[in-house]
Amino acid sequence: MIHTFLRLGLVSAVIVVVSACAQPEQSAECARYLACVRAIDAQEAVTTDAKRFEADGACWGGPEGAALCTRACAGGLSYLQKAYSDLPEACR
Amino acid sequence: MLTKMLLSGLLLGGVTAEAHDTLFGVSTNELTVGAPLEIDVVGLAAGVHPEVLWRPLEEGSGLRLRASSALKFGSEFTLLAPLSLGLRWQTSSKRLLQAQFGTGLQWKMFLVPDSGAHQRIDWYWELGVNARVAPKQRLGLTIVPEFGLANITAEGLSGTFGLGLAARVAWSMALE
Amino acid sequence: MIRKLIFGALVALIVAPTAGHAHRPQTFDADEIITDSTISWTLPGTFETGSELYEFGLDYDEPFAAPFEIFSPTSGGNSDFRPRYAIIGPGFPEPTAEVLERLPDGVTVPDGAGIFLELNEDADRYVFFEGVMRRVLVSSGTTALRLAAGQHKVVIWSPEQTTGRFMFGFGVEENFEGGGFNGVFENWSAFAY
Repeated sequence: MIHTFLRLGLVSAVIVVVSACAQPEQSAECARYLACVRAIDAQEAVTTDAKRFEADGACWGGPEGAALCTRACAGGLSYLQKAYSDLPEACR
Repeated sequence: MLTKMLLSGLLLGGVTAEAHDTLFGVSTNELTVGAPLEIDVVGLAAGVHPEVLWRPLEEGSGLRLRASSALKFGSEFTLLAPLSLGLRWQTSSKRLLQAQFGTGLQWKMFLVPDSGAHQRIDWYWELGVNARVAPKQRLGLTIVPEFGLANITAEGLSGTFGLGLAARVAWSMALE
Repeated sequence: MIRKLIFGALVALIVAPTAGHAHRPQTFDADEIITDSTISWTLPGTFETGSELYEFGLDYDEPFAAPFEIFSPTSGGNSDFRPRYAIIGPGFPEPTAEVLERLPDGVTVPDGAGIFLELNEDADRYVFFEGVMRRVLVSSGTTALRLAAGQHKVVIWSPEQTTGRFMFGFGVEENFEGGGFNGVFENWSAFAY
């Protein structure tokens, strides 16, 4: 009986730990920033390596990285809007 | 003063109307309380880390179950560890010098001004030695390496490999 | 069976959360400061006289976008320090006379290069807790920057010759291969205090 309870308790603990793991998704800020970067790329006929910000990118491996990238994308889009006058529509 | 308050908080809740040689339903013969002063070398902070040890096995056994709390102050943050649970093995208490080693998990909160409480679970190890300074009382020195296991965030648990190292000077008393 | 379950629970607790986020530590006295421009780095420094100039190069074969920011560690009363940085290279706006005036002596912008300038003047700066070394850092603000293909120079200086400590960070992807974390232990006081 005790062994059964112990087994159930340990299995439950493993399930709780695994399911409680944070799995952030790409933020709206980075989706917007990426759309702007891709639009600039199209204007310049280049492809920017921005894969870290993409939906399956390194930014979204955990909450700390996600928060850093979200702040970066918001700041990055704001910088582009202030620094350049001829941005494509996706950047406004 | 703070140590006495924390120890009181840990112990007084267990005072019952039963015979006064039990605490939380456990015989006081099986309990040891400690009041360590602790300094963190990683993330400079210093404070107190009171603990209660319970001997679950027969007298003479070196195994202890440990519960503790910590409050430490640093120039960059305040560290509150509401609960640590662990195991400790120690050599015979009949000897003047006693070696001990242990391991366990600690729930930590880094209280950072303008940034809130950053919580995580750490895995700690202990390696120390203590000497008997009076009947049932010991004074010891312990080194405590720590490894961050998981941050506790609003979105859930996330991995970390946070480093930690503390030095602890502890007075302890067996409640026999 | 019980032992296997206990072991599994311990492994799950340790392994199931994905690896934490940290930058590769580096110091400015290394022979080659940035060996891979595409991973994340952290570089500490100290302005002891206020007239120092810290520089390193970034080289990209194709346009590259990543977060950049500069921090002031709060230990030792350093939280009010506001170091500045600029990234000089292709793809950034051509500097105006006002921008050129803000650059420290000895820093020039090559023909055809533009400049990104961070003056670190925001009244309310983001406070960041770095959990690996338990540091509290005040940030200039995290900015995702798109660097065009080519060579760039990052320049860090102190305004009005003020003194203080900083940590510069950029990138996202982690890579600690080849003893990448050794720098922390070799330069313990720079990274820990």
